[in-house]
Amino acid sequence: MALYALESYLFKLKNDPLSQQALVADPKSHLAVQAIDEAAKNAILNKDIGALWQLGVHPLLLVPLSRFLGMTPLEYRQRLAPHKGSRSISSSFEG
Amino acid sequence: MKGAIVFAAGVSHAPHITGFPDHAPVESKTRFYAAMNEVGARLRAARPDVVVVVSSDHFHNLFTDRMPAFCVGMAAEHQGPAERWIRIEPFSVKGAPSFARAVMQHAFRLGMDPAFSDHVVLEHGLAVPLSFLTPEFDYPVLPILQNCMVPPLPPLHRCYAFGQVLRAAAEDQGLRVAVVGTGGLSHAPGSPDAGRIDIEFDREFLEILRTRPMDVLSLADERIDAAGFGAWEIRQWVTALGAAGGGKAEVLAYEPVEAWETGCGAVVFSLEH
Repeated sequence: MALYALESYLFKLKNDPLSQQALVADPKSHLAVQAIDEAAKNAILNKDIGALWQLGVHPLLLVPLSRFLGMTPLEYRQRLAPHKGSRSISSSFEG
Repeated sequence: MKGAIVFAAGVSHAPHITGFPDHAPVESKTRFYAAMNEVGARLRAARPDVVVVVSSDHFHNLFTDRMPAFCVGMAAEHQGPAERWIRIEPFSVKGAPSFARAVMQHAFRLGMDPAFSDHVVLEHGLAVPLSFLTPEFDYPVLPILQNCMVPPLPPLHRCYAFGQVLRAAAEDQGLRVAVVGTGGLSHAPGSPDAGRIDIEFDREFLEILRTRPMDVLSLADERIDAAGFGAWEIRQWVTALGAAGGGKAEVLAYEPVEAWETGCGAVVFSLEH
């Protein structure tokens, strides 16, 4: 449920310019009222893409978040690089 | 008049293709762009009444609160692109609501139960291919979204069957219909493996389509997974294959472009009647 809540927030963020503006303007206040757990909020505040990856977030929700956080593609790749091989993405429903 | 599938193709749709065209090696870009333009020329020469574009949805229209395996876009008009950074000017394109309803009816008749939507925003999965194939956005478009994002995914044989639904609807409605399946080939965007391209998988996939296309239905999920989760999008090519009646593919291009983080392919299917 925690992952669903986090991804649901990121889906809304991806498609809602007002939420994007709120995140940029005042990240702490914006995140304070989101129904996601503290670990996820801290990871977003710290631009800790690796932590979000480890939480299981879909990569196509992470990429737009990184843009809203002002990260460059290079910075995004560098933050993910240490996590190569740490998580597999399988088409198996049990995976 | 009896309608028909008059054109069927499979093409990649990576947003970098139009978003960062010059990041690719110039030879790769030139060959791939030429192939996409050739696919477009052939599509337009087929004089379709409707262009069905089958794509995945990358979390613009659909999410896991309700994630259909197949979703038919019913609207009379569609807008795109969802992403401004892919360097495609905002556009409107006519929809195909009457044909969309026929697709729903034939799906039910043939044992499939797609969802439908009266509002599908055209994101890069549709906008990138259309910018090459119908650059004036002057053909009615029926968007079909297939879940290639979050398991459980529709199996390959169900995607093929959905192509058969499109074929049956075209024949029944007396329309000339083009079907373009978009996505793939190997890639894993946004993951630590982004930029890794499984050339062996891509070439094997294209060779199967070229020589013994029905064997594609036997591709193992594990092998597709190993090519990156973006390779799940070969489902759209399989849907186009089903619309074509299982005809062999002519491979117009294959370019593994690391800068576009995608093995980029383009094929045109022969039409079996």
